[in-house]
Amino acid sequence: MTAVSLLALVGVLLLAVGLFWPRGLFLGAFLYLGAALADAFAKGFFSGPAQPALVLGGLLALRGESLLLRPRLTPLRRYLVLLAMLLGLFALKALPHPGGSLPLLLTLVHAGAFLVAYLALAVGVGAGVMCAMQDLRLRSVPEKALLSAPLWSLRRLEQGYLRVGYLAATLGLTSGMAWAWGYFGSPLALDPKEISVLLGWLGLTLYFLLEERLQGYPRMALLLLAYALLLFAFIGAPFLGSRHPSGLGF
Amino acid sequence: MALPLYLVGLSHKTAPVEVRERAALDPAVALPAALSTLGRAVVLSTCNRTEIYGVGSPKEAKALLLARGVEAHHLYQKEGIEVLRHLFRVAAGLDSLVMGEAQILGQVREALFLARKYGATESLLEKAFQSAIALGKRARSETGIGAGAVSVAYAALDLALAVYGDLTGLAVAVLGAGEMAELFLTHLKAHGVGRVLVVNRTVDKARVLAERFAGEAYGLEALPQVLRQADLVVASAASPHYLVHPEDLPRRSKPLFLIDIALPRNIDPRVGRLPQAYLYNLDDLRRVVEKNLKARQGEVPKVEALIEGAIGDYLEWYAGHRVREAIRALKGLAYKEVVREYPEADPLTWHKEAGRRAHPWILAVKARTKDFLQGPPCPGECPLLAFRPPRL
Repeated sequence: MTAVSLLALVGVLLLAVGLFWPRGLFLGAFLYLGAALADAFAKGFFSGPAQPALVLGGLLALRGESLLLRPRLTPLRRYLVLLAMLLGLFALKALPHPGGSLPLLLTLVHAGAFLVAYLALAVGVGAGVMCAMQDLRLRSVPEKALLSAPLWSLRRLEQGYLRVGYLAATLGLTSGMAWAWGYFGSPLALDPKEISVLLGWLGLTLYFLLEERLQGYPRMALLLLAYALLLFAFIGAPFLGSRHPSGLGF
Repeated sequence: MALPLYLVGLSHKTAPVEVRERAALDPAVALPAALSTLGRAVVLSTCNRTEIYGVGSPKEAKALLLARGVEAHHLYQKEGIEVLRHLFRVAAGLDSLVMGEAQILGQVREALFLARKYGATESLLEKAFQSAIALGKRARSETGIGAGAVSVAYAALDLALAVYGDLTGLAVAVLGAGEMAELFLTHLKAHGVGRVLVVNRTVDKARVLAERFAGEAYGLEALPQVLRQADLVVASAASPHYLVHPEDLPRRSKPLFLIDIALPRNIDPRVGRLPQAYLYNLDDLRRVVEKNLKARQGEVPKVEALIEGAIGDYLEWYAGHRVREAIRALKGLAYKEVVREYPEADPLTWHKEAGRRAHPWILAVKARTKDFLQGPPCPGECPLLAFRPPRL
């Protein structure tokens, strides 16, 4: 096990501890970011999927830590920490992958945009699911809605983050397609990563188009489906083999 | 030795309202008179109970209540630790009509203040009431006995907070200008709602209510226009048919919170199916209240444990208090005996002697400083600094 992997592993453990001991979140996040930096110096910036996963995990853990003073958003905090732990485990699997340096512009625009998109969508989807659940509670069992986070606060959180996430995902997707067109000769291929990202983006587009009409379970299902596809593209598709540089070739 | 406390009283559990009315002691007239008759006592008189807590014999307290037309079977009487347990239960809200209500704590405090004002408390009662007030606060902060709304108006407010989180600056529309509308507006205004729009069939009545809350008054014909501006709607108008229909409400991105407390209802139930509308009627609010009351019931064992702890603390204090009283009595006795035998050993004599010896010293200082204080400031060395008092 390399020093970077060890840092990431301790980070995952600290995040697990952080579910009960708040300082653990802060320390775990910094170990994640430190591991990503160390790996970048060793292999080049964003040379493989491990670095963005660690950066994203670290930022998600920090966002989770910032919710400590809002007890009604505890489910959102726990979900963000668990997601950060999942990303840490994925990074541990991807770290031994040799990787290779990418063009700077592509790194900045494509990977940067998707990093922002994943970060914003993680928070937005979490808030959106909580909001849909609160909506259901308010309509069917209002007495159970009293102790949960207020609907309007969740909706504002959801709308803000989802919009930023959607715009960033659109930028990431189009820049990725442009690069694939120039590099591989086609903007889109029957590649699990590209297809799942495209479907996830379409799901989000549909969600925004039907935003005012969808309520309750259908709303929650569409949002979760779109997000699951995007998440699969990040941490699932690399294992299936891909023409994308993040492919792990297993 | 038993705790010499007694309690005589009646409450909503033992007496109907007409008996409680007769027993209630007016704090301006009847209560001071009762306290002066009873001596060492604290009287807790609320709409749900009249209780006299005292030290010594309960005969006079009982006679006082019987003299007010209360029959003996409506009264309960407790002594010793049971008085403490009852007082603590009352302060914690366990004995209230609505379990855990907070008003009783203020009333217990007020009873103690009144007894102090008329010089009717003494150490045992003072300590018992202070412990009860502290326990009442602990029960409400450390357990859920006071949590959740237990009235329809507060339940509505809690639901509005579950939707919006913060009501500051929101616009509230009220249909009808009756008492319920006023009650809801009072609660909502206390939570910072901004615009108040009162809609009523008679605009003059709407205007009266609107003026109280710095709002605007409208007739029923302006209802669709008002609904477009409102974030919260409280419907309590007397109307034989629905006043608000789904077609009256525009599509909106922000939630619309509607409470229909009118009978017959004012708002078409189909409104509740609109995407951003959250509609509640009296049954929904009662369900919230019942759930909260059930939750409070579940907190009773925790409060009982606090009460037993407080009783233990009081008895510990009482054990020390008895010893202190015995020592004080012994000291008093010894002092009397010593002074009787040796009058010059009386501290009062010492004080007189000290005053007598200090007197010439004070006179000397006054004589020496008289000129200095009345004349101009001294040019050279201050004579006061050179002054030495005479040897006594």
